[in-house]
Amino acid sequence: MNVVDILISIVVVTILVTIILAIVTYVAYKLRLAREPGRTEEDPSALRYFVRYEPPRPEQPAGSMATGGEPGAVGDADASTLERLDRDVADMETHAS
Amino acid sequence: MSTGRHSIWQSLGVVFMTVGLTLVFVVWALMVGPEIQRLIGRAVVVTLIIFLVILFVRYLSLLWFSYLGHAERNVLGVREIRELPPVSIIVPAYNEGKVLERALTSLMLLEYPEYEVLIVDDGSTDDTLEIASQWEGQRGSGLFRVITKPNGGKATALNAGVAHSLHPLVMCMDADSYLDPKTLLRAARHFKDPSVGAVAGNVKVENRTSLVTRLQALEYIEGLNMPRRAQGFIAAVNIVPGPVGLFRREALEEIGGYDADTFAEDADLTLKMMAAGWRVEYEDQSIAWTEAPESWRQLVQQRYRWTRGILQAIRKRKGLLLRPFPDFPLWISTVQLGFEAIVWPVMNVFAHLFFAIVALLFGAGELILYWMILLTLLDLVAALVTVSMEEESLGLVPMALIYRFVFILFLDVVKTFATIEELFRLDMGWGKLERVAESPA
Repeated sequence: MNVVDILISIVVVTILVTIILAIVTYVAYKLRLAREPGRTEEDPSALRYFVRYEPPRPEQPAGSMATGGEPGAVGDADASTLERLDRDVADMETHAS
Repeated sequence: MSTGRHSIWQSLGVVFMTVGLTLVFVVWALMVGPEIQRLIGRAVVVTLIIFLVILFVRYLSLLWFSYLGHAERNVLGVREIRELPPVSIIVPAYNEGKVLERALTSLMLLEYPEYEVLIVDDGSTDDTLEIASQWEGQRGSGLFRVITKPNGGKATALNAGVAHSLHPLVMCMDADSYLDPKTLLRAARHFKDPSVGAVAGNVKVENRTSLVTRLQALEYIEGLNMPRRAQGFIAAVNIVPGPVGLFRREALEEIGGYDADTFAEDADLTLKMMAAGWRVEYEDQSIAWTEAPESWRQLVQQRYRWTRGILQAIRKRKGLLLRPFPDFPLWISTVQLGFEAIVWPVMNVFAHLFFAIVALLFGAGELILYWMILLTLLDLVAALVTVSMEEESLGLVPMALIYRFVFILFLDVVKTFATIEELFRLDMGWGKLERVAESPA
């Protein structure tokens, strides 16, 4: 077997092995995906954090931004959270008085 | 676009159907009479000649135009602007706790007079929000702000960021990437031209620690940045990459921001911007370093999503493919995107398969070998030219020896299956990559 034949064998084997490996990896990727739990719809009202950070509105001075905020337009859940907070504060004030 | 449970049987069906049909064709071609075999042989040879011509024309024109873009920049110099407009940088983050700190540190070190950083937490379930919150306030020239919202995908996070941004230029980046200090400075000067709507930056692989990541490093330079530089020469870059893209806010607002109905929101937005008449340029000195997939499986996952996302973006504008005028650059850009995503991978896989079969069964191995050597030499030259243009490590050039026969062929098999699945509109999910967070090189 001369050098050319050896090189031909290397090229052919490389091509075939690469194609087979790619198919096997692709199937493995798909099988792995199938074993992962399906994505469930998120409940937007189920907040993970007690108070969501709200950025200030554009007309506010930039320096006052870091301390939290007004109700804004980021998530639908924010208004209800703040209402809940207001109610809690009102309850606390009632109990205190 | 659905994000429900994936149907493994449909995907496996696609694989078996493709492999099965190929095998059936090969067996049939071997068993038919000599007359039909000659006919098949001629048809295949004609197809292959077309393939080779396309390959050479594509390669040489990309090299030539990318060289022109490079020369234009070096000879004519770059446009400088006296006044740098303030920039809003949007960092969408979903479970990026491991890498966010690194991205934010790079933003703090940017050399730019005035900018704000908006970190948009897309309902992360890890410590992303806590980490982001620690960065709020003025740091260097940048004002860091945090927005959090229920999980809705990257496009919605970017749109939320754009809606809350204050400045006339908006930079969008990925939380798993980090920027060079001069990135903003280099990209912003393109906006001196009022017709420029976006500037695509230069993405480089940061974690070059294994064979698969080193091959990706070469691919980013030779396979992604070279076409982008060539497209930049005609101001028709078809993808402003997710890790680094600077936009004119007015242009983003005009086209209505990002759409959430594809898995390649960057390609989709760029096509939308070009269709609206804005120029999209490329800036190779605007650099973002990104973490490439560390394993072959993660690479498959990423490229599967890219391919289907690009096809979804093209499908939304399929009418464009038949209208070369009045906007010829847009047409060229869209056709090239479709060609690279659909036609080229399929042709490449079947041409290689054909080469192997011909070499094995018809004794044309020597011819095939010379062809392969020629192609490898072309790859080596292209790698040398592009690596030199980007002043990258020459150590990447030898990777070109296995770049085409192993790496590109491997990816093209995956792209072929992804294309077939997209044609059948099979279910798919986002598939988030696992992050490693290597320390910056």
